[in-house]
Amino acid sequence: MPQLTDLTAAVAAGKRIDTVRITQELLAAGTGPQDIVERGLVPGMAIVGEQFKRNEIFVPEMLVAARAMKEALKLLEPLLASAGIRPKYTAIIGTVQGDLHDIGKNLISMMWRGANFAVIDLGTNVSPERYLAAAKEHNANLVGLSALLTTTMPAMKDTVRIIKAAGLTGTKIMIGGAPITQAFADEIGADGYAADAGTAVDIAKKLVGQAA
Amino acid sequence: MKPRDHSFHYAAARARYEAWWQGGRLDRPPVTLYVERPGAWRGPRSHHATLHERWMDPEFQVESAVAGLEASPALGDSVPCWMPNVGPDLTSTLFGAELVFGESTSWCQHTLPDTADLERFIATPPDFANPYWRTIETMIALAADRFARRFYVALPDLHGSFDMLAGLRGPENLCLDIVDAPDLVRRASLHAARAYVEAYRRLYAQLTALGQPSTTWCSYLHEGTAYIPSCDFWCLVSREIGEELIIPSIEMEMAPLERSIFHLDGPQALQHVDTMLRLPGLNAVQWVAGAGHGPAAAWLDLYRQCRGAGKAVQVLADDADDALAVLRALGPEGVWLTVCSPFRNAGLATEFLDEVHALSA
Repeated sequence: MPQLTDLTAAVAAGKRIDTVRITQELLAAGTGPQDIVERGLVPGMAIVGEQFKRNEIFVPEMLVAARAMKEALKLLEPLLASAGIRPKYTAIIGTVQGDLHDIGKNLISMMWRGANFAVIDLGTNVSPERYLAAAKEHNANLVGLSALLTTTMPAMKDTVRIIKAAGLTGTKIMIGGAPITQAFADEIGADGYAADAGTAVDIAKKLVGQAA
Repeated sequence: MKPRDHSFHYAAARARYEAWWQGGRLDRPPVTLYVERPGAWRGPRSHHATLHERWMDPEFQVESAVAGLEASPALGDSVPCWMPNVGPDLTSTLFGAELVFGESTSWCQHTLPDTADLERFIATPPDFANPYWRTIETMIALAADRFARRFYVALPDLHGSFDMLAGLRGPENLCLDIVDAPDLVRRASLHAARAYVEAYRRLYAQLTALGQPSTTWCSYLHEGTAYIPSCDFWCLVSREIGEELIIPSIEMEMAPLERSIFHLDGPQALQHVDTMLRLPGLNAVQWVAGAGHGPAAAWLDLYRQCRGAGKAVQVLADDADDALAVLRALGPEGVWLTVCSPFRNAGLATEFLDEVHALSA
């Protein structure tokens, strides 16, 4: 019988077929879906995040790992839902108004899902009002703003201002993207900044109060 | 003593760029800069219903270009030119991509949804009758006519092979293709590179026939083939994939060029510097650190690495002080200074050019 560590290794290596097979075998052997997610899949994506931070792997390798995890989750999510189990934290993510670039936002979204956040992806060109409405609707713990263009950085500032003005005390705001820096995050009052998709998980966990 | 004339003079600028392409310098390095335009905008006002209509209106674009160029003093080696532009995904439109226009940039819709579609792509010749390409050709002809040799027409911005494929497939899908079907991606990238070369040759032929020298969005000069190869996509992949899969297409794209300056964009591209510096025939490197990544003076080691490999560098300085700091540190050989923030008036720009002269003596 395969072990949860086998599943972790399969996800980290991006082996989609092995990941699905091991997940099925673990379920058949009586391992609970929550255990499979938290002790099998999440550690696999954590390995990927660390390797990405150390420049040992790059975006293609990260994407195949996320794809493997997603295939396993297709099997597990109905079981988790029927048992009333859902991720502890909810995150909203999107690319800010005026910006149609999405690969950075998608990578963060995958890594947050891999860290067992419920992620609502608003897509690209998201207005400040849409971010705020989604944060309220989903009672979000975290809102992630992405931008690739320097010309759309002011939209990031507007979004932070509107969410802060709404007084959502339980909602933290995190920003990132090629032109973004910690100094800019401080300037516009964002709660956190992540330089890459690996770091984004650590920062997200810190912001929502979970030990990184 | 008679004050030095810093107006743009084609022959002098061309000679400075030629020395720079070769890694040297004449009286001083080439310098490109711009001055804040005084007064209100005198060009045409847009009454277009959509951004698409505005971008694709040659008459409006060329009239705007004339108004802008007439209001801007051409100083130093800043080529008084205008680049016909619908965005760099122009090359993806050769394979059916539709462009989406924003206020100042454009994107292309991904038109190859599945990996297997790359086979269809490889079997498809580029379509130079598509409306975006035809609009660019119209803009070039119209601009050359209206400019009447007062200004130059620049070669449009063209995405190379992998950026073209990323436009057609989406960058994430292309990343997965590289893992799932590397040989198919290799063949597709070479097909894309051949289309890029054909696109370049057509534009170069049109511009040459109109008596235009080689220049583009980064404002160099050369009387012959010259361009700025690039690959933004390679920021996403490892050095190994860069060398094995991407470099062959870049080499193909550079083959027709007598002069080339590589556009290296952002800290994530730095892992490919050694690979880039080994490109045969590459003359120069344009390093774009990007917002928040420091002034040009913070990147002296990178400039030295490039020059050590026999490549000239274009220094994109934040302001005059940044440019002078780099010049003092590197010396004038193989350096082209571009000041990215505007000078408040022509007098300040002239003072800066005098100082560059003095430091280059």
